[in-house]
Amino acid sequence: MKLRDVFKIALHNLWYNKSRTILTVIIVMVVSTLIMTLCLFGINFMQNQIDVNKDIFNEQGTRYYAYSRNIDNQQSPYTEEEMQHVFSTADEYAHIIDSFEARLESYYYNDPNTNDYVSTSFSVAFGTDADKVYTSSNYNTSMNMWSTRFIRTQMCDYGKENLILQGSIWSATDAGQNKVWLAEDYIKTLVTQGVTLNVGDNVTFMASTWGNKMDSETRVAHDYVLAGIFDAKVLRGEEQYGDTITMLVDLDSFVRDFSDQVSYSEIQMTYAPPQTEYNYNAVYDDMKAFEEKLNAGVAPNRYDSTERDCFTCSYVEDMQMTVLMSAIILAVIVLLSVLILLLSVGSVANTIIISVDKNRKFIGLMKAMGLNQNGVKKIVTCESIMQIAIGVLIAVGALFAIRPLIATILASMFESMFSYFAVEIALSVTVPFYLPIATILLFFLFATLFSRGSLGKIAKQDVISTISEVS
Amino acid sequence: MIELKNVDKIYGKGDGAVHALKNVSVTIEDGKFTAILGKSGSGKSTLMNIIGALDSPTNGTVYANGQNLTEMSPNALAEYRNKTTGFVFQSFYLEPTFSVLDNVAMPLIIAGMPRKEREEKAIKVLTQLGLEDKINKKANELSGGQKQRVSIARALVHNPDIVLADEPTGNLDSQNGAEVMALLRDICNMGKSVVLVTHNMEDAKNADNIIFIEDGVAEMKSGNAVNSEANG
Ligand SMILES: Nc1ncnc2c1ncn2[C@@H]1O[C@H](COP(=O)(O)OP(=O)(O)OP(=O)(O)O)[C@@H](O)[C@H]1O
Ligand SMILES: [Mg+2]
Repeated sequence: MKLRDVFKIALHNLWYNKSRTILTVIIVMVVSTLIMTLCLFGINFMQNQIDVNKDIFNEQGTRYYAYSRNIDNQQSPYTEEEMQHVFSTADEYAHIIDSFEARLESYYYNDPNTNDYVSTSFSVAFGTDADKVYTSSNYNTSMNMWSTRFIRTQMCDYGKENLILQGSIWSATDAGQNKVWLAEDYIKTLVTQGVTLNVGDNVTFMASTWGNKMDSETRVAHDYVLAGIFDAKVLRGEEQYGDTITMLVDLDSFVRDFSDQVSYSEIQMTYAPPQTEYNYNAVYDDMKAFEEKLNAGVAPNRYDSTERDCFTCSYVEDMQMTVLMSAIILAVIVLLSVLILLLSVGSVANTIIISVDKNRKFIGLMKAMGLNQNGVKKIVTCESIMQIAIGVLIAVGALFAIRPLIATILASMFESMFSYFAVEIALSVTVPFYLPIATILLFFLFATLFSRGSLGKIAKQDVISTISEVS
Repeated sequence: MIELKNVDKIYGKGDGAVHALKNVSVTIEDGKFTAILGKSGSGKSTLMNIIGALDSPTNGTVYANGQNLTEMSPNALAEYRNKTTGFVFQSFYLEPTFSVLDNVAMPLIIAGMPRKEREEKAIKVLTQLGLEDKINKKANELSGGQKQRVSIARALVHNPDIVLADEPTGNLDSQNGAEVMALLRDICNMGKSVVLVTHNMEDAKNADNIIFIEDGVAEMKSGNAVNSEANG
């Protein structure tokens, strides 16, 4: 039998058993609307959450950071070798780094030879005067390591146009050139103490290292040039918490000059994507690869023999979390849908079988004329597919009608989830083309599984018992 | 040639079992008109269904041109029916909402014949039976006599070897009944075997062979012998 004729006969059977057909279609429609609404919610939750995340990335960029490392309850600064790895990896991925800062640690230094605790403090002196006075007691001239950033960046603009008020910010040629940048606010407080500083002036750093019982003091001093004055507010972002940065110091110079007094404790890089079109996927992959490569050359944190990588790319982390969360929600929804399907498909299969049974006579007649069991199955299958497809397609229409409702629910969810970010959430609820197709297939699969027995019976049935004239 | 050898048909089991055919051995000769004659409930339809491979016997064997039908698979039997047999029923069994053309073409549709070809064949047969103006009518728009002629057209469209008719005149008035009987005779004259089930002596009179059946026991006689017996 030709497929076209199978279709034609199936259609005919459905048409002349309208009430049964309509009943089946309605059941399929109701159930599939329910299922597809659930799935639509899940899929769009996932998609929108990912979109919102991307928006946040476009707006705020990302940070790559490694906090101070702890190995077996021991503060463990990053070693020189590890830092070389970090630097060379950063050079390799310079296109996704805007700024590079390190935080150096100086307060406690464990002398491995004497096992003595040696403490170092830094102070700063200004001016070109040969008789510099270092005063660590004077707040303004002691160097606060927590408000100082040691910079090393290829991009040099920090992503902020109006960061620099005078002079110019770090560029690659400044590496190792003993340069320093001060915040305008800091310079203003110096003025109240009678110190006036201009770009090009001298700034001297001095490290005082005290022996175990304050019994000795070693002093090391190096001169730096004030290369620029910056706006601390711009650097940190006005609404950010945390330290106000008063000083930026060329990292290479400082680490070289004070190699015995400081060690690396924290590293932070930032990146904001370009405001123009860019290849998001490539950037994302690069960020992930960058993070991985950084971690590959840096010993992880360790606590009770569990290890945790030092470097994190905040955006990659957020995104992975988002995807994981969405996947869990989606999985729950899919499971729920399958459950609903399982519970309902029995009745769907039944109405299909009953509607087929009403055509017993016609099917029996065709069998008398040589229709084989496969032919019967083809016709019945075609009938059930058509009923399911029509039901699901009507449900798709219903879905489009429900869309605004889903959008409203999603919007209020996202608003509460992302209220922290100043990102405009552009919500979209789309019905993916594969959803109805998958629903039809699933429905059909379950319906055939459920009705296999009855279908086989109808196919096998004696011709005689359906049509014969035996009395 | 179709041969039934020691055929039994028992419906049901145990106390309620009905022994509808009892050790029946008959032969349907090619190109002959065979009538099955008997009272209501005697087993006529049961016998015809077994001859036409619509049903299988409980015991015994059925040979069609040397092939053992009782050993064939359901699909092979379906194929056999589709190629070899044509049925005419008392209550027509036309699909009321199909056009006459589609009803007649049904055996060819089942055989998977392309549309153009099968419609040509159906139109040809319908024209032969004088139904050319009814081709596009729905089956339920026809009179009883027309319906039965359509169902005869359907039984002929695929050029079967044997046409089986179960009380084809049962629902018709005498004039239409006579026309249908004449048609069946013509079909036999075209060289096909015809098996007619009837309880009407008159209809059986012109048959080449007559199978008398009573309470499931069948006896076959040649028509000539019966007629001369009646005359003599
Ligand atoms: N499917 C069945 N189940 C049980 N008994 C049946 C079945 N079909 C027929 N019979 C019985 O078998 C016997 C023969 O029936 P059959 O229909 O062959 O008779 P018939 O000669 O065709 O009768 P009629 O002239 O009324 O059509 C009857 O007693 C009938 O009741
Ligand atoms: Mg009968």
